[in-house]
Amino acid sequence: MAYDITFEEALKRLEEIIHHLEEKNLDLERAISLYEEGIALINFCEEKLKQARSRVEVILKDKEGFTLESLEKAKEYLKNG
Amino acid sequence: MKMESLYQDTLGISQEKFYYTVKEVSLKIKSLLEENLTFLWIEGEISNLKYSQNGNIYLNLTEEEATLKAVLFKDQKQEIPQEVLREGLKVLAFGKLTFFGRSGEVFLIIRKIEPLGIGLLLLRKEYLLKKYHYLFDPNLKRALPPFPRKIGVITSLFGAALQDFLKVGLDRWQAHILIYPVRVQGEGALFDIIQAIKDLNEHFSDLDLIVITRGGGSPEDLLPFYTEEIILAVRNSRIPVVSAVGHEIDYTLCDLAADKRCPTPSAAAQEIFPDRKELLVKLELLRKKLYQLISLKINLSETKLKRLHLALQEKDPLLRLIQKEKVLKDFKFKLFQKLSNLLLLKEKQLFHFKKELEAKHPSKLLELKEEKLKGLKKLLFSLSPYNILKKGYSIVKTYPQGEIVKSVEKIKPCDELEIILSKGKLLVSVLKVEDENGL
Repeated sequence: MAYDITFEEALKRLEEIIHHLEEKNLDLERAISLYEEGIALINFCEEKLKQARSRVEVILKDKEGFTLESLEKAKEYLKNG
Repeated sequence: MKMESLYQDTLGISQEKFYYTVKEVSLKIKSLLEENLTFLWIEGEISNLKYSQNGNIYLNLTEEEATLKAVLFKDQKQEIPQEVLREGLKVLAFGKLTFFGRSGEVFLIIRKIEPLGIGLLLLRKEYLLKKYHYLFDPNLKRALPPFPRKIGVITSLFGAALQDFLKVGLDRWQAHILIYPVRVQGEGALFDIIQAIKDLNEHFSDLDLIVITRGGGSPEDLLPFYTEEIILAVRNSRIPVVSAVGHEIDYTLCDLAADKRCPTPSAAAQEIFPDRKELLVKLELLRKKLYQLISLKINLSETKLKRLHLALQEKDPLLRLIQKEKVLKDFKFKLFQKLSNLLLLKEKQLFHFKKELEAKHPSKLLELKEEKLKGLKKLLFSLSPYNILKKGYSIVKTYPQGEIVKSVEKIKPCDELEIILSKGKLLVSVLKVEDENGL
């Protein structure tokens, strides 16, 4: 399921859903739709956590502006002045 | 200087010696001092600080075992910032060394004092904290995004700080980390760091936060982080700033101005990045909780449904109809019973009346009378004297009078008598008459 929300928003919504589900006077239909939403959000979050990849880059500044370089290359570059 | 015989030696030969008077020596020391060590800077720690009643301030400058007495005359006091005069503070004192002949002591007459090293940092910190107190308001601290996607790290590319930060950070969380390399100590460090904060804000505005970090160092190394410029740059950053600079115990001004302070680079990584593994566990727990909640909800709903179903059944119109029908049937039955009882009663009554009426019917009466008559007739017949005749008896009547002869009285021979037999009659004439006595 595709969501146009951030991980943080998803977690926040999940907390809300749990909170709602704990209400006693909640309609069953509403509860089921909340539950389904919650499960979808959990899947979404897990997917995000599993998909995410780290990227480490170094900002190099020269007269023309900024360039991004990998850590190793940047180290080499800076060592050699 | 004099040369006099002081005493005689054992041989009694008197020897001549050079000697000074105290005054002479003290003058000599004074001039030696003033000629060779007039104005000089001396590094030492302040101790034994005393404020004299005459307005002068006395103190010792010490270094390990060595001590030098110093005095700050009241007319020089205005030149010295009061906060520098503190026990234990390492300072550079500028002044003139003088020998006081009266007490035989050497004093440094202080003209200037400047804090040194950590002392300098502390003083600077105190001063700037006071000056920019409004910038250190806890209410100004911005919350860090709990799940940063893109962060800027201002640090040296070659320091252990970056390694530590990345090691802990990458293990916990996956993010886009942009490193802005700077000098973190020495000349140019302050400029680099301030420029980095500015550049990141202006050209990398999508960063979730900025981390400024370096490992611990000497007070001199940390100097850039105790400056006015760093406070202003950190507070002017639109992007929240995390500072992990210097010692674990001592907070730099950069730490204090930042939105979040961490004691070490690894601690900063831990603070900034959530733990992915922990989150996965948490998500699993949330999944379980969701399931529990919905199961509970469904169970409750089922129970409720059952209860309602029962309640509904109780109120089923058909059931009511059946009940009513039953009542109706009961009524019907009772009614029928009552009616039939009544009918029975009436019938009985009628029957009774009929019987009574029948009993009183004229024909019946007639019959009865007839019967009675018959009886009477029978009786009468049974009682008829003629009946006896059948048994051989006969009736004797006078003829033609027809009177029944019961005795011989009035009968005379030749009288005619009628004898009635069972069958037929005889008409006879009397031959002789005899009474009962045969006479």
